[in-house]
Amino acid sequence: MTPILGFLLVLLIAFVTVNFVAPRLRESNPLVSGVVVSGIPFLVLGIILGPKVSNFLSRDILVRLEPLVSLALGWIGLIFGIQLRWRNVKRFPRNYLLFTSIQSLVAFAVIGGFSFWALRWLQGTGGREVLEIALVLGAVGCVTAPITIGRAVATLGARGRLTHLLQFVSGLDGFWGILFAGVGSALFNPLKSPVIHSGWQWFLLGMGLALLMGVYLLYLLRSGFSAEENFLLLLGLVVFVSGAGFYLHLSPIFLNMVVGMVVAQSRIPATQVNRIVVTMEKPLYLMLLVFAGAMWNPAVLPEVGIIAAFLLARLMGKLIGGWISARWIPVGFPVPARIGHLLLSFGGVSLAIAFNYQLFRGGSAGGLVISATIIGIILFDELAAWNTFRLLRQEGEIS
Amino acid sequence: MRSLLLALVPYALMGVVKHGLRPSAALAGSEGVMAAGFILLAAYLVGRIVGQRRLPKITGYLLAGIACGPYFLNLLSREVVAGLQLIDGIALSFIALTAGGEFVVARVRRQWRLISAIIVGKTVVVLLGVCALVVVIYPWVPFLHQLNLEAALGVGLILGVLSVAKSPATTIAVITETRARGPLTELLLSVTVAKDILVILIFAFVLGIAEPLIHPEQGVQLVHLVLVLRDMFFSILVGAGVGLLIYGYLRLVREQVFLFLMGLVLLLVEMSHLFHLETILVFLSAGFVVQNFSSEGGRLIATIEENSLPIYVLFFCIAGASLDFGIFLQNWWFTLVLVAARLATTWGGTALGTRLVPASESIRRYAWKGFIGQAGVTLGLAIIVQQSIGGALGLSIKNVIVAAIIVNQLLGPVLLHRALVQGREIPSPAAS
Repeated sequence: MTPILGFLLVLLIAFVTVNFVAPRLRESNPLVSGVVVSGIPFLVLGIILGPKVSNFLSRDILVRLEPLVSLALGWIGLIFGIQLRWRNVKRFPRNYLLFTSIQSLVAFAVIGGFSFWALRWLQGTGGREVLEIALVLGAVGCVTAPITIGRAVATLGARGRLTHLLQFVSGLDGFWGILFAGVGSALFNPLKSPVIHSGWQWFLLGMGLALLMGVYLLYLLRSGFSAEENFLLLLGLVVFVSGAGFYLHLSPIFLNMVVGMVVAQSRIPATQVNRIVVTMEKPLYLMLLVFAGAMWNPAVLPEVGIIAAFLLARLMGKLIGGWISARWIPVGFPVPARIGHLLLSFGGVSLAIAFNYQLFRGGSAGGLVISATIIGIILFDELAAWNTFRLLRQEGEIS
Repeated sequence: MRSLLLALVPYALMGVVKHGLRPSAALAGSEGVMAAGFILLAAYLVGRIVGQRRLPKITGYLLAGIACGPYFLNLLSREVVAGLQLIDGIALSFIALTAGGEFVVARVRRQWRLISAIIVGKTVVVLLGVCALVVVIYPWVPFLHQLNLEAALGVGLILGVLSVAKSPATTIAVITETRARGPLTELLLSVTVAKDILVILIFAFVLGIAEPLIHPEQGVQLVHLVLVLRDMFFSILVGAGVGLLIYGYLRLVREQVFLFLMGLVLLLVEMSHLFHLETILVFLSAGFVVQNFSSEGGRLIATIEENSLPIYVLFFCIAGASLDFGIFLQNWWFTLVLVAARLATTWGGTALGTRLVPASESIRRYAWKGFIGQAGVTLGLAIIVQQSIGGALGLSIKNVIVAAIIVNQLLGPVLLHRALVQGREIPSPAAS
């Protein structure tokens, strides 16, 4: 099989599922439909298609499709950034943002710190690489996927203040994960350049590039082009920024998130961009899942301790983060201290961050992060759903 | 001025990232992704500026490609350009699908005598005219002067038949961009599509005759013709099946049509390599079947036109970046003579066709300008010539053809645009 046919196969799976399987299941059984689009079946499918089982998607094909993956990552970053419109955020109660940030930062600190300790203790090594892996694991773990609460709202009709808060938190806390991933890719950038001498300079360069491209896109979108032209310019810009990020070892998700955030602050262009990008969201996520499954090397036995430590750290991080926020940040109603149980869902942004690291680093470090993320998705996906439905029912927000 | 400044931003950024920062070891494939994004932005914005000067935008895409290519700014290296040429197959497939979809039998039936007369007139006059010219001037051409008359006749026939070929891509792209409509546009489309099929057949036949003239030890070889006929037959058959598939999808599913077409194109471009199919012919037939044997032709064309802009921009910019100016400079005077002869004989052949069958004034006066552009098909045939003739002579013939394509590719869209403006077939906003 050639890379193109491999890519087509993945595209076909995502396409058929999003357009045919999921809508039909939604009509017959909402809960089953949730599981189908939740991710696990696609990971399993990726594993079956990958080099470890059927080798339909061989290692060579996967390597040659990496530029396309970087493009998908950039698109995910843009989709996330475009949602971060300050005016919309301000419409929510004032402390929601603080609540979100505190729980996410605490989770990041706990997961990163614990993973760093586990890596040093179990592998007996320290130094920059361990710090880098711990930072990426922290970034991957601090993000909550909005899919579980989305399922509760869409399929079970959840509504109420807690549901509202959960939607806000899961919609926004990816920002911190993407930011930390962006900082990590810059600080630990292995490239040498005659004009850039430190990680912070790489970070400032990336920020500068992304801000400039964001302003440029905003200007282009306001220049009265037709819808076709706007699509072309947006596509060109995302591809360029993703490629530049990939070329300079700077996270394409982070760079495109910044571009999206700049555009999001302007109402008309943001609406235009949102209309264009949002249709791609689900197929891209499903494609990433299949690729992740195919790229996954399950021979991680020596690292099983580190992965277990990461999973435990994530559980603790989210529970502690949720507890601290619930206890110290008033949001206008009593938030249950165990809100962390509802924030365990793992999904697209985490996977994208892990993928980003795998593309840049590869090798055992990349494999470790991907493995931890995949096992995390498998373990936390249904656990989070079960917790969320149970707690929302107890709180009276699901009838 | 504002448009120019807007267009310069991507060039400046690409220059800074690639030449200013000079990172030590970029990841494999990353430069290609960055280049694709850069092309979409930079080439489109240049195309827009060129469009404001009453020239076709695709000339702007080509000029942007030439400017960024390895011969000038080197923002797109040779390796990156080669890596991006996968887009050629995709773009040509969509162009062929559009061309097949624009070939409406009911419409062609009204003009079939005129179409046939122009095709015959143009083919005969261009082929024989260019061939005669080569036979007359070959003693002065550096790479031909050592040949005898028979061999020069063989080379003349090859250059003649390749002068007959034209680019359906240019025609479709300019017509799509300008949204031109009218009898002249219909005629240009019909002649282009019909000739695209015909020229492959004539080429195979002529090559079979020319080869023994150049290499007398070989007998007349019509094996090319047989192989071509076989490949064409299967391509048309597969294309008809693809057309039915597209029709079924448009009728039953109706969602995400462009994504479906993209998947189909990628699949068939890959399969064509494996099964020796002519991708262009497959999609020409598919478009033809959907347009003429179903009620979904309009929707197919509309879907492609709505989404084809990025493909055209990439295709023509990469075409510009891959033009080899070194080759042009090696044979510049002979190339210019060939181009001039092609222009003159195209005008003469079209005039002959419109004299044999009565045509409207706009067709008589302007149609020839629509037959000048040359691109991918001719390039593909040139490579076959190189392989068949072999040695230094084969390479030199190919190089001359490539050099002529450079000039014709720059000249063709401008002349076609001019013809459509003069024939008053471009709606006023696009014309301006």
